[in-house]
Amino acid sequence: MKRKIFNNMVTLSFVIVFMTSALICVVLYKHNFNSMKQQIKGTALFVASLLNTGTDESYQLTDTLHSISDRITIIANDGTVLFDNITDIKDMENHLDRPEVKSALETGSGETVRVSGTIGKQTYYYAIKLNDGLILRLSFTSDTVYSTYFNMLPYILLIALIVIVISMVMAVNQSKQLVAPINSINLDKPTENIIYDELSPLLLRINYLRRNLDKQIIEAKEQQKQFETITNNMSEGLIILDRKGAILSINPSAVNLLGSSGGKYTGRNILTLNRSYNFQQIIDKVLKGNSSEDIITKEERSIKIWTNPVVKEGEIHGAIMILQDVTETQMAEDFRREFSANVSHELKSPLTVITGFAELIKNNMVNSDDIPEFAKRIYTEAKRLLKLVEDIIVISRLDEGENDLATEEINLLEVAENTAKRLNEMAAKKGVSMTVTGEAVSINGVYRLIEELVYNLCDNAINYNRNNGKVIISVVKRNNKAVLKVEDTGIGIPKEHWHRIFERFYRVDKSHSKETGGTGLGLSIVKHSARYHNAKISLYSVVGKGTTITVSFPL
Amino acid sequence: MRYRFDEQLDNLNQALIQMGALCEEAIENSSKALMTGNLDLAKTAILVDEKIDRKEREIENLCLRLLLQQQPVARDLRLISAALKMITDMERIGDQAADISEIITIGKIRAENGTLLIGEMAKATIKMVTESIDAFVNRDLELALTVIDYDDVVDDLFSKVRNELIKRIENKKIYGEYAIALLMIAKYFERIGDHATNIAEWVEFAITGTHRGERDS
Repeated sequence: MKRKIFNNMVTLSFVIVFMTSALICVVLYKHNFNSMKQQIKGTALFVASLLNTGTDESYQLTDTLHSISDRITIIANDGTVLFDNITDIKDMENHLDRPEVKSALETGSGETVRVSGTIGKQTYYYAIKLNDGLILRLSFTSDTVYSTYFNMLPYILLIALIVIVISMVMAVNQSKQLVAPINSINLDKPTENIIYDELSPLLLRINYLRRNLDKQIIEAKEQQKQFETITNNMSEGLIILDRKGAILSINPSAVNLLGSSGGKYTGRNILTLNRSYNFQQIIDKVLKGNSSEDIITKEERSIKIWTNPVVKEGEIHGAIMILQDVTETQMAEDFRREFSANVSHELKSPLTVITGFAELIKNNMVNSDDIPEFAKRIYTEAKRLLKLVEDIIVISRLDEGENDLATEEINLLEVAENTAKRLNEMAAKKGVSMTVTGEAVSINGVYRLIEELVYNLCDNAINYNRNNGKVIISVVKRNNKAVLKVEDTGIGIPKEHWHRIFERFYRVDKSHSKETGGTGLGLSIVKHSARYHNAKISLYSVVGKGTTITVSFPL
Repeated sequence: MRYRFDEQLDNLNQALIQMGALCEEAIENSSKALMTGNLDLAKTAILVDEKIDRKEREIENLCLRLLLQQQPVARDLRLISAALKMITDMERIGDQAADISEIITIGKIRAENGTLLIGEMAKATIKMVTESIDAFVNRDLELALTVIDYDDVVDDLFSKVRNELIKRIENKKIYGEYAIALLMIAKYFERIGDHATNIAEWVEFAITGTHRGERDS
């Protein structure tokens, strides 16, 4: 801007300076030249009249003529130069062919301007015919208009220089003055401060763009907010990385899953969040362009990480990671694997016994007397197997979460009494006496499950009892709860096993499991059934004295 | 130029975090080897130590290049010089973890049964190393100061272990050679604690520009 104004100013002033000076020069020169001409003519007429009148004193006149500053020449009518007040007449040639002389001879007077190209001078000649036939010529020499101008040039240039300096200063000021109001325009409200009318289209356009921009920013913010709301409320962690592993976006879940101290992680390297070796390798892999699915452990929790590189036009721009806490799933999977391993093992051992005995009989390797004994063993094992399969069916049904089983009013005392009746024979065989006490309490529940619960508890109480032992089943209502208590006087459970006995196939005494004939699933069924009815189980046991298991159902 | 400098600083930061992670891994492996008597873990710790040594060279080169080419000032200069000092300590931690593993392998040290406090020491030093590196990662002055103070706990545990070992030797409840091996392991853990303290002090220096002693006086 400054430069442009300056350039314009300088050009303009240059044109003006040069043209004006040229014009002045030409006009003045013309004027001067004309007045000089007049003067010469006057002098010539004066001298001619002198010469015409006083021929006698021509010698005096000669001195007078010498004193005149203009050049005076007297030429004879044959062209010979008779007198010249400046040049020696001997050096001068015949002047007859000069146009002013010619015209003076013919008309009485004549004038010419001759330009000497080489020295930049021009000479004006005026000739007049005297009465005695001689020709008087006066002349003066002056610079040509060009050389006059040329002589003036240094001054003109000086002026131009001054003009340049002034223009520079003015240009700076001017541009400052012009720009200052533009700079102070409040672009938030461009239409409110139009300083120059010329700017108003621009300001209107800015206003339009601004409104558009505002709208877009609001939209972008809205989207960002939506995105944040979604990611912030996800239970899965989400991390977006750039090409060098700096975090572009991270949600709180991801920080919780991986990080330690919280804080702001955006913009920092992913390694500041977690620096474990496995994690580093996952990052390396994905930033090289391979998607992966890994599980890392952090403080006892398993975290599954899905990673995917962001590839655009064959170039890796970053990575996206999704994290999920899979500790529970992992545990459930382990549990299921263990369960099926256990099931197959438990199913296999009775079958081995059965096939073994059956084979012996088939091959006639058993005395006919012994066959009943063998058949009894096969029968027992088959029954055990059946019981096991039944239990497994019950437990897998419970596992599948039969949530909408038909519930009904159940009299807990009645169930206990029925169960006792069913088990009476078995108890008698073991020499265990059973007693049922308490009051009739009704609960809302699934009959089959409640029956399984009571049956398994009593079954255990009998099986793990001692000779002449006792089993006391009591049902009472306490604190708005129906409490079923099964007490025995059996072998008891050591404290370190208390928290594990409700696990499937868990046995306190692994070597004696066959003798008691349990499946290892009884208490697990109890636990499931209790959980289904929102009941609480508590256990108290003294080794060698007996065990008490209490199940309290909410009413 | 400036952009490149920032990138190099980033790389330095990252390399330091990686080296810190390696140290954590080494010491965790050797302490796990000690607790479980798993000799494979002990060997892993020795392998990790080699990685740590390589990383030290890498960071050293990076620091020197930064110093020469970029002539950093103020905070950046502090970070780089602190980094140069920190890697020495980290490298020593790696060495000592490897030394512990070596003693476990050669001396056939049984799984630590918890009667001695060496397990506690191992836990305490792991905590110190982890926290000192956390302090660096998050530029957390508070945490760095906690680590520096925590060194007393490890020192205390060491003298307890020492006294217990002396008592057992006197009562002839332990073989002399075995006792010495345990003592050395304990001493190494104590040294690792010292190095973690050093790292924390350098973190403090990188953040504040002074050491605690200087500020107090």
